[in-house]
Amino acid sequence: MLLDAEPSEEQLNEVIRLAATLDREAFGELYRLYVDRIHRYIAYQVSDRVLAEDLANQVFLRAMQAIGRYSHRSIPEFNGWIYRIAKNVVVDNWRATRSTVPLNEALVADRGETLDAHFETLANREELREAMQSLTEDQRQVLSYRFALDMSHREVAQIMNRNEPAIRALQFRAVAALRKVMAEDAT
Amino acid sequence: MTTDIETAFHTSLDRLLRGEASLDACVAAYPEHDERLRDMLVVALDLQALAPLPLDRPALQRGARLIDDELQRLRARLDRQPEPSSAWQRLTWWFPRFMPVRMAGLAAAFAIALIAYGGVTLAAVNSGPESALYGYRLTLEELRIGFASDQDKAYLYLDTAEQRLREIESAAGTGDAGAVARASTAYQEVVRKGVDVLGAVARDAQPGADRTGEVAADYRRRLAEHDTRFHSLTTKTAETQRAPITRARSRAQAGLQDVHSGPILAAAPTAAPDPEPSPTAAAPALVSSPSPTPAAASSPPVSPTPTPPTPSPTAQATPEPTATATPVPAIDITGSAVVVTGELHAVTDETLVVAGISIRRGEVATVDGAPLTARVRAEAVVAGDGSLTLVGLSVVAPAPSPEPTPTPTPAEGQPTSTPETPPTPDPTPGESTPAADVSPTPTAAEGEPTATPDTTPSPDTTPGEASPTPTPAGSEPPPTPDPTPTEGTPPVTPVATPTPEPTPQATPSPEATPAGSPPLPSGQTPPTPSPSATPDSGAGEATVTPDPTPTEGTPVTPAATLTPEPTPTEGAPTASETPPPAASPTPTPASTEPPAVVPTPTPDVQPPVEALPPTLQGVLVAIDSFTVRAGGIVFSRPLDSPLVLHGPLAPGAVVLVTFESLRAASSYVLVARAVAPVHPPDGPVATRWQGFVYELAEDALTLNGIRLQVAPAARQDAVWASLQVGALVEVDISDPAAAEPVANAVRLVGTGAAQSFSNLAGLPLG
Repeated sequence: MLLDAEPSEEQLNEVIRLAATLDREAFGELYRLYVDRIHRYIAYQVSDRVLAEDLANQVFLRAMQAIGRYSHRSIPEFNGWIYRIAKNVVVDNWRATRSTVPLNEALVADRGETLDAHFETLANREELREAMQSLTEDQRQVLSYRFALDMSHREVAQIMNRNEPAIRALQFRAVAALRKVMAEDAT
Repeated sequence: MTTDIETAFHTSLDRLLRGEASLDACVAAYPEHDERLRDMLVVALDLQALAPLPLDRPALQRGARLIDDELQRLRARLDRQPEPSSAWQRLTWWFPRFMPVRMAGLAAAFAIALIAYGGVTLAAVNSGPESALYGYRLTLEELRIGFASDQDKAYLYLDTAEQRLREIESAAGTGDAGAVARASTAYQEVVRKGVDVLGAVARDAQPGADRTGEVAADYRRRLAEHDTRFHSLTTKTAETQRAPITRARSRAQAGLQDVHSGPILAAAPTAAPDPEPSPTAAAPALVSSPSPTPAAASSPPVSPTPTPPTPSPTAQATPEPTATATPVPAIDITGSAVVVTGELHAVTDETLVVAGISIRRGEVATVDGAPLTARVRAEAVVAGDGSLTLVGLSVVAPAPSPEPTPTPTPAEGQPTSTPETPPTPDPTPGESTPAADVSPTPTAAEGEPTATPDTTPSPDTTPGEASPTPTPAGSEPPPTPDPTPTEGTPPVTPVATPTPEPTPQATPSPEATPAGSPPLPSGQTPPTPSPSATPDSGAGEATVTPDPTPTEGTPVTPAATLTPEPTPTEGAPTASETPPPAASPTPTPASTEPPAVVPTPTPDVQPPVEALPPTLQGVLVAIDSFTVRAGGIVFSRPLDSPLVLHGPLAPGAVVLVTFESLRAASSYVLVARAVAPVHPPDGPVATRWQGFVYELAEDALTLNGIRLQVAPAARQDAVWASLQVGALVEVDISDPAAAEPVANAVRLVGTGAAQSFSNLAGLPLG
């Protein structure tokens, strides 16, 4: 079973159902279809690339343990389910670490940046990520979905089980809060 | 008309992201929000720029493999299991669960543990904090712990913290700052969780609840030890690596505070237990560890699956946290008594194997009366070379009954004597008091069935008196037909081979005077304080150790009654003299022998127990988080279960080592219980080790998981040329405390070891 990068809803439903029975092929397919977005979602919130990869795998391991309890009804619901796992993995990691991440020269090489540019980017990122810690959990989620995964307000609303206006408002408040925090930091 | 800023923001952001307008243009469209809107859009663009790079292909493949492997393991486990009936079962059945104790399993655990040094090594093979898979491993550990009961969770977290500490030490040793930081973070997390869980358990516990007290005491002792190790580590590491170590140490200290306050203190007052290690004093005696173990990236429930930690021949020779590497407070146990109870596996002209432990027959000629697979009680002494020499043997349960008879658990504190053989207390002053004496000790039924008359000093017995009364004996120990029908018959474990592992006794013993034990003038018989009766501070505790797991349903067979004194006959000088129990027979090199055969307090274990586990009682050499070294043997706990310690366990104390099955624990638990504290005699360091060859290299071999360099001279002979993995060998070590000791001579011990090894390796541990 090798689906397109954008499988149909029907195909995806089938994959999810089969994966719930721990069908090897289906679970592999599920991994292939979701790992990148899960990784992006996580990497948006943690700065260590290796750690993000690691956490992304943890999400699937946890999903593997829990999928027996998941009863599939719709894809948005499944998305919500798996992103909730991802969120929990990230939160657990935050609880455990709460520390800054060392500079990783491998990142520089991978990204083809100059060292100065890398440091600048890294500094900005860290500043921003640090500021994100002051947000509420929901606010962080919205920003991650919107900016790391390029999800529309509607998609985010489905995953977070809210309506679109609420998501828009949440996003706005999140950005406003970030602006405030960063302005305070600057002074 | 003005637009509210939220609308202006969303509209502008959408245009920006679609590339329809510049930032300036967007802001210009809403002059009323000029500056604020600009700032917010900049932040939003920054957030957009924060978007990570996609996962690269190798990472994706790595992850896919990992997930696929785990999925297959999961499926394999499921396939092996019967169809579950409920959703909960479906979810959890493949996690390690408590399984009824079966003698075979216990015996296997016992035997395997002797060679399972490699278990630690196995763990080392798994990803350490330097690996990208580290988080994966942590997740698996967490999952596994998640399914344990709260009390077991507390143990498991503590155990895991120990492993994290080792990783920190290891990573610091290699100068890997990142790995130190990750392991430190993981350490802090598990300590926090462990203390939280313990707090919850304590809140729910009845004041003074035994189990909670034990767990709390364990936390106090080990966290204090961690504190010390962190301190030591800090002084040795570069400035750049200190921060994470300091954070971890702070966490350990915070944990220490927590376990000495609040609900934990209320449930487990500090005063009572723990005679020796003061919470803050880092219990140096207990853990052999001031020594940061070398490399051992030991890991715990490493394997994602609850697979048995079989001693794999592949075990990498990571310097073990154990014997070799650690400068253990040296205790010379030469001449000390050892009592092994368990199934008789083999008898040859020169040796016999009880519960996997090889014992030289010495001058005892009465072995022949003991049928194979019978449960026997072998009394031995530790020879100068670390091997055991038999001084007496008695049959505890003669019949290899096919089905272990579950026996009623004896009332605590009352050694139950079996109906048939009423205890014949023989309270002769000056002599070893059998059963009767033991009674004061509230010990419940235990793995050690026969409290043979010999060494049972009654509570009142004064030191020196506690000599075993050589029973009628004479020259041949009447193979005691021990009746005890009740006695759970030992499951016949296929476990064949002896896995003797003469522990390297290390170094000159520091004056590790176990709490309260009176120093003995050398050459004098040490008092064998009966567990219960010991006047010492630690005594009371030593004995009792109310076992959390009172499973073992076997009746405590009070000493005298059951086992007629095995009495070392001919060769054993002791017999008629009253001196120290079993120990005496051996010509101990000039020194006090630790009290030998003290009536073994029986372990507990829980109801569904079918039979008695093998036990060994001997002088404790050292304990670390993975191993207990006592009586010349190294016991290694299964990777996924805790090491349970009871009583004041200082080097030199007499301990009873056994394996028990805890409810809800994933596999057998290695339990060491203090029987009596003693003063360790000084003496030479054992430099002859015995064990199985795990790996062979051109100039080295791995013996029970410990890598040894083999001196060129030792590689010249035929033994080396024909040596195979799995062989049981004996080696002469020049420097036991070295990180990689050198074997100056390698001798093949016995035959068929390879076969046995593979058999053992194939046995399930839990």
